[in-house]
Amino acid sequence: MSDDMDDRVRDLLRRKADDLPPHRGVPGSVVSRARRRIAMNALAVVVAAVVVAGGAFAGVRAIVANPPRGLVGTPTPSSSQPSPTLPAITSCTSSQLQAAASLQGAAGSREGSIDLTNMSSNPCTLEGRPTISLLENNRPITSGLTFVASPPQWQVDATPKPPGWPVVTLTSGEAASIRIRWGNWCPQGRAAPQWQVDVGGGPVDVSGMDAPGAPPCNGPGQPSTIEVGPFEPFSAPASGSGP
Amino acid sequence: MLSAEVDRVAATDTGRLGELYLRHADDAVRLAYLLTGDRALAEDLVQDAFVRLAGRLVHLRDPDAFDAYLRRTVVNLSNSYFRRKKVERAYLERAKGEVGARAPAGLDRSLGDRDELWQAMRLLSQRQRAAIVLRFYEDLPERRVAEILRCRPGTVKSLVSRGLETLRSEIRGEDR
Repeated sequence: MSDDMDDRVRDLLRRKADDLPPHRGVPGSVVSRARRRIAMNALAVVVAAVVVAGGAFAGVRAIVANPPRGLVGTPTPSSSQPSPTLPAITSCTSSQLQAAASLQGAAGSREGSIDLTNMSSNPCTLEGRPTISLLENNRPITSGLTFVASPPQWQVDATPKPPGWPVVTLTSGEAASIRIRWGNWCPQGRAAPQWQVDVGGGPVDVSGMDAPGAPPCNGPGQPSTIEVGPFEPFSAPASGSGP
Repeated sequence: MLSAEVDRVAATDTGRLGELYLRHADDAVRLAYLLTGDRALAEDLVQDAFVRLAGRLVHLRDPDAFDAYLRRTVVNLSNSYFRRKKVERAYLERAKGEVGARAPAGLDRSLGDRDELWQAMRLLSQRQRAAIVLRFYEDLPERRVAEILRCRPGTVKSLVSRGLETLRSEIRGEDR
């Protein structure tokens, strides 16, 4: 800039500042107000410390008197008050389940169910229609099979829809069923294959498929037909036994 | 016992504050006066600043930092004061139905101060005035001024530049 405004302002400010008389002492009002403020701050610090210490003491006492389950490592008997939050129930995995077939011979076919039992201590859920695999000599059969979706047994029986269906919740030891109808296994005399039900985490081997034997070969050259129903709660047949 | 301890802390810190007041009050009042243009107001602001800082002396690890701490507090209190006054003025103007009837532009000669440049400084915004005072009276670099005003150094440069331009135009206008 061509003018000297910077210097003029600087001079002005110094001159104005120098006009003020110096202070000879501390005003009494400042001392009294400051003293009150310092005392209030000190008191607030002490009170806060007491509150924190009291809270910590009460917290430690509460933990000692009633240790949380997660800290002691072993489950404790349930107290009189139920837990306010229940753990989320997850889908069943293959490691939790054991599968057994319960089939009977029918007119040219085998009919019944595959029952999956929750062998774990945790509840889990099953939903939808599972994938069924058939194996011979530990190799999946990839041809000559026709899978057909079929209704659940409760619909076939015209009974009321089970509570919660299509989700089936299995507590420990409970079982779900899949309705199965299997026909036309060729050539005649062919050994029954190994069955697997695929759920999350891998397949579950099905035991007991060989009990009634494979169905007869009613249509040579035709694929074997397997009707598969969705998961549904297990209901023991009137004359049969549970899993 | 608690009361005695609080009293002891209060007495210790009050004594310390007294020492700091005697050492720094003159500079602080000068700064406040240059920021406000009002001696009585400057005294009040500085006393408020010391009282406010009294409660924080225990946290002051570096005694040499008190100077900067006090300067920043004075600037903040000054800005708060003018913000409050602005709100009050706006409210009063609305209450009186005098919206738009602002004070006449130009210098106020009724205050008895014949220094036109000092008078012209009243026309600056509070932030412009603070930037100019901190820059030319306190001789602080733009970076430090920006820290105190809580803005970027570029903003400080702009505030100073526009403030000086306002002063120039006012002085030229008066000279004509």
